[in-house]
Amino acid sequence: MKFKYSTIASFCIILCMMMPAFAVITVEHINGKAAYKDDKQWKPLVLNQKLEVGTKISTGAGSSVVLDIDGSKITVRQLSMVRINHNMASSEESNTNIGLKYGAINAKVKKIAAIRTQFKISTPVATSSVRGTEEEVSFGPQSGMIVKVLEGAVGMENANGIANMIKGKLVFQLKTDQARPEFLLSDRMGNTLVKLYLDSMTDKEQSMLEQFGFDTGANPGKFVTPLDQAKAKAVFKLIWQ
Amino acid sequence: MIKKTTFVLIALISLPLIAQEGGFQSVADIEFVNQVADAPMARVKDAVGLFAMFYGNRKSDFQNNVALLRSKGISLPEGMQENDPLRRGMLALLAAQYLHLGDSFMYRIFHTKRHAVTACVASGIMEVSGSEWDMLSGGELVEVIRKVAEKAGGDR
Repeated sequence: MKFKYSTIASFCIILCMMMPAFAVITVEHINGKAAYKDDKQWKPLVLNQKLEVGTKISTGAGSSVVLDIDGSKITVRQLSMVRINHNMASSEESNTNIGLKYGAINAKVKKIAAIRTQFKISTPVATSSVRGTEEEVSFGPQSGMIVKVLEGAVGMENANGIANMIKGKLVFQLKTDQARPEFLLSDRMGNTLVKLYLDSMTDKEQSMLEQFGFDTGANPGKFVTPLDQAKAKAVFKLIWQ
Repeated sequence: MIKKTTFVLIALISLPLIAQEGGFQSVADIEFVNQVADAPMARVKDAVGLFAMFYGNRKSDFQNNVALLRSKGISLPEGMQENDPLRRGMLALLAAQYLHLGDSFMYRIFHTKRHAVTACVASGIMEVSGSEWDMLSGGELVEVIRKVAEKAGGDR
């Protein structure tokens, strides 16, 4: 009989060890109006509330919510809606996926050296993978998904499998109706440079030029900059008055 | 003595109810935003409701919200009905009035929908593509409203 009990007890312990533990998600700070939805109804969010996988969180105008996910902080900005898609933690790995339906979030992901950390933020167009990083992610139907990295690096992958590594001053922007993201430096270039292309260039050639610069042309012996090319078609009209 | 005790008791009982009422009001606003975000086509009443929400006094009645906006100096063009589809120009006009945008010289002079769109594009609220006649989805409306709120300094 004693043997039976000890066998059952050890079996239970082994079973518990094998089962993945769900990391705790706690509401750390609420500023303004915020609500959560775990079934069909929206209910007011309260401080120190524990949230489960599948819960949706939404914020009102001028409001924000800070969530603590095992030391990592997620700030849900105003007029945003997120869903906790997946959240699991074990002694070997931690795996979290936050879905951003619309709005903006800031993610400060804590790097735990001992375990493999996977922290993903998904939108309808792409997914960002963060590790030991701070990033600002926003999504809307007009501007698409925009990712700005404040610290570290972020891996991006869209539904077509196109991957990008974002760090420093690079900005990832993928619009809903496009297969590939905007030029990664477009945010920096927007105010300083004007992109000029020849009329004879195909879309593919233009995208190659955007990705790799002017040093991948067919004639490697001669560098042709977009500005050089533009010179050829520039027409000046002088109007005397 | 009994009167005073009764009064204190009523006050103690009603306080949590008042607080809860406030909670429900905030949930109602969030529910409204989510309903609008899911709508395939945004209506004029949705935009008016969202702008009224900025002032913390959104009503379910369209005319009350219009009156509230008018009292704050935001006017709707004449003949605008609550169930009319929301067009980019209309939303730009509301946003430009709410933010007192002066980024477009032409908007400053004419106050037309077309120039309001230009002013909104210049201030980063709207995307470059499209015209003032484009009909907007609920998701697009909420995105613009979020950018308006950020621009107004409400991003916390």
